[in-house]
Amino acid sequence: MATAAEPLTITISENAANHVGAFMSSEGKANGVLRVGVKGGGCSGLTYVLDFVDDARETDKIIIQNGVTLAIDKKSYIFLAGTELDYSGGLNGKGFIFNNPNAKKACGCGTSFSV
Amino acid sequence: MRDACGVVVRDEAPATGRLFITGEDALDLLNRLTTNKLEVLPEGQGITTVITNPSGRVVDLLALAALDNGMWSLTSPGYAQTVIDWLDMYTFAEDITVVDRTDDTFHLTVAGPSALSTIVACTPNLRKLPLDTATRLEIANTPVVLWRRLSGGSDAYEIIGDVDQRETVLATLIGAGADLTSATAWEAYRIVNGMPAVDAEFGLFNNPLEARLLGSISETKGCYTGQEILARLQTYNKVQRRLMAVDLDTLVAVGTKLMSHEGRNAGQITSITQTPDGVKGLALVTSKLAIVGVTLAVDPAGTATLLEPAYALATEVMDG
Repeated sequence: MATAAEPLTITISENAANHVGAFMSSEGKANGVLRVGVKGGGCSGLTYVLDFVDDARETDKIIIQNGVTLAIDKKSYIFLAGTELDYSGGLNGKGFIFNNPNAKKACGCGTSFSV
Repeated sequence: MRDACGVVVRDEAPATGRLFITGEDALDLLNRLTTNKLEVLPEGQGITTVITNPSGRVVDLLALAALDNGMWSLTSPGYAQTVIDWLDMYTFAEDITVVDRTDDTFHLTVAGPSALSTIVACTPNLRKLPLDTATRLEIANTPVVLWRRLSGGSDAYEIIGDVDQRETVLATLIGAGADLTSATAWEAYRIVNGMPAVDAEFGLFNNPLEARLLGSISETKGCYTGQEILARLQTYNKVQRRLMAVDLDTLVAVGTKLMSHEGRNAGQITSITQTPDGVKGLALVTSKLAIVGVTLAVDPAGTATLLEPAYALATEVMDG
């Protein structure tokens, strides 16, 4: 019997969630929301956006995982569905990383992508 | 037009697109999506910039002028909706509104050596309008946007106003000495001035470096869509073709191939016109052969001598 496909969502790794929590606390927004989105621009056309905000918008898609509340606007969600937000630390780390299955091409520095 | 002053109707199909863009984030979004530096555009200032796709190919060449608490924008003929759709695709949370004013405005271009004196005769209060600036004034008691820029590849004045007032303004310009210039004559003027045009010299089939739109590209602004590819092409000298002006000995069709003397493909004619001074054209030529004075064979017969396009020479100044 066929099972329903797992719906595409956005996930945040435990490591990334820990760093988000620490950054939010240091900014005095421990109960805030992590806004995840994209904007036009960057070499490949679309650039990832991360922002700490006090509240989500009514139209946002809300995902709560590993103790972090993510808010994603609907248009950005189209380009981010299936993405895992991870964190790469250390001297050679890149910070927050978007493992986005929709990204067909990324620029050299990895901050922008095209679908 | 070359000797005196011509007025060209630009709002007949395919009309230049006339967009009015407002919003707090409008300039920033355009800065992220296009090739020129648009961090600040003071009221009255004009600029040209190229919308490029992630592959560095040309979506369109835009002329912008900050005026009326927003930006007037001229697209290539027939490209208003393409530009609107492109900006919409890349608008997420930005405060930007793009209104298509193509149908409710007229657009005339006044060009030629006596263009300024013709304009002044119609608007006595105007003394001087620097290149790449725009202002609001009245012609025949009709409020219009007057915008001085390199249009058709040469110094010219764009006039934009409410469509109902088009005939009044046109008649006033003709009464002041401007000759009504046909679309065919305007096309010849563009070609002689070496001004690249959409779907001929640039488009999604090439990048703005091949079309020599360097005057509309900033090398110092940082990332914009397509920037990485354009920077690589420039840095490693990998631009495959270059726009050149050509003098031909026969009138051939657009698309005619140019060949080296060894019989290799050297490019193709992209625009062509018969003038009193002979057959003039524009061509995208293989970079290695794109040298002033080189003569290429025209397939199947004839020759084409390469020259620098005047517009490229006038605008190829890199920002520092």
